[in-house]
Amino acid sequence: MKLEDDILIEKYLRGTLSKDELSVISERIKNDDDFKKKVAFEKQLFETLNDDDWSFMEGEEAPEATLYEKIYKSDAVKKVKETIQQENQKYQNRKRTLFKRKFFYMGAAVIALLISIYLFSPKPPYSSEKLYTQYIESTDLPSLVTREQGENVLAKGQSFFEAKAYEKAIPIFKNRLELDNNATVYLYLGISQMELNRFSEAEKTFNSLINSNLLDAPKGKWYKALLYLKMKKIKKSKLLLEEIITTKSYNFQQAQELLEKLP
Amino acid sequence: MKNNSHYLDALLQGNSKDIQILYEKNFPMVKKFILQNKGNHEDAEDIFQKALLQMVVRYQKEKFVIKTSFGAYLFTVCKNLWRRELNKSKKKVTNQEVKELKGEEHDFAMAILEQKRWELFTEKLALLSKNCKKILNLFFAKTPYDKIVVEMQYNTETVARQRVFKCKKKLKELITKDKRYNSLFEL
Repeated sequence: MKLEDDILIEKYLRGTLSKDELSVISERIKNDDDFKKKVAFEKQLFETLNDDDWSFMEGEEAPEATLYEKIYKSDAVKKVKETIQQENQKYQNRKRTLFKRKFFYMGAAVIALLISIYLFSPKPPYSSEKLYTQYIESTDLPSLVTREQGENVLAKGQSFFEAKAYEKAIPIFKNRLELDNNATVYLYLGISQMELNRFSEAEKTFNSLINSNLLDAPKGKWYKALLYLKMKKIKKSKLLLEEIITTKSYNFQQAQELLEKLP
Repeated sequence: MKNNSHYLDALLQGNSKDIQILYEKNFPMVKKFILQNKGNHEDAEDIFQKALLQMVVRYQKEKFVIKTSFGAYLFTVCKNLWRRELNKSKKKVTNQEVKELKGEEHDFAMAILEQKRWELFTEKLALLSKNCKKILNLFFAKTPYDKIVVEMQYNTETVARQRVFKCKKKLKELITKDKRYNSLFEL
């Protein structure tokens, strides 16, 4: 075959011929047996060796085809066909069961894992800082605002305190304590110092309250326990809490609750 | 390891144990291929059974020899049967009607002949030089000539065309010389 014919057939098989070229080649296929054979062979090569395609046969004149058909229809092959079908079913059922079982075991394993994570994982580490904030906020402080005129300065101190402007509040409370002992002012002062992390000053303030003869002196213990908590001196805090509980002094119920939360 | 004729004999006798082994070893790969190529699980089951039966019928008629591993050959048969299924729609409606009238046994027999033709063509293609194989593979995959030129490092498209022409000529010679060709060629 000439290269020209080869190119022509290739274009024909790829569907890239012009209308005129197509009518010429169709005419040649019709009248030239040799050319027709060449086209058929090329077509078979094209379709067989392209993975996306397939070359079909009609089998009009293939004696082999009749033989294969005969064997296919034979009882022996029919029996094999049935066996293959049964074995296919067996295999697919087994795989489905295995899949289900695997799925079941995987599910069970996941559940077991989740349970063990829940049971054996360490409890979230307690945070003394968080506990301090929680308890300091939940303890009510009496107001310093009174109807007496001279107490206006204290009211100012309280508003500084509430605005967390402790630096400004502290001198007001200190001045007031120089005049006389007042349990509530001690508490405001101690808490302000505690909030500013002036721990030793706060400890001193709470001690002054505890050692005073004031009626509310025991309140100092509760705040001192919170101070130790903030200072992360858990042992000291616990000792004080236990003391509060046994003496049933101020806030002993909350003290009990807090004690249980400490390590 | 069991040899290839062992499995062919086992299939012919309908040996359950060996059929299960064939399923265990080969079905997953066939299923994967079919799922990746527009098919579903049922298609995979159908093709796998057809492939086994094709080998049974063929082996009944001619004691053919499998030159690769049994698994590789079975996979090829499955792949070709699936290519056949996917391309069935391209056949003319009139032809399909004729096929349907001829029944499934005719279609089954055609699939065997087509498989044999595929084996003849690929076997001969494998005998060509490395360069010829490469250029023809590109050509049959419908790679445009300008890309073939780049891939094969030719100077011009004319050179590429001439090379394709020569390699194809060689391939056709090898095919037509083989005695199997006469029974597998049809107009």
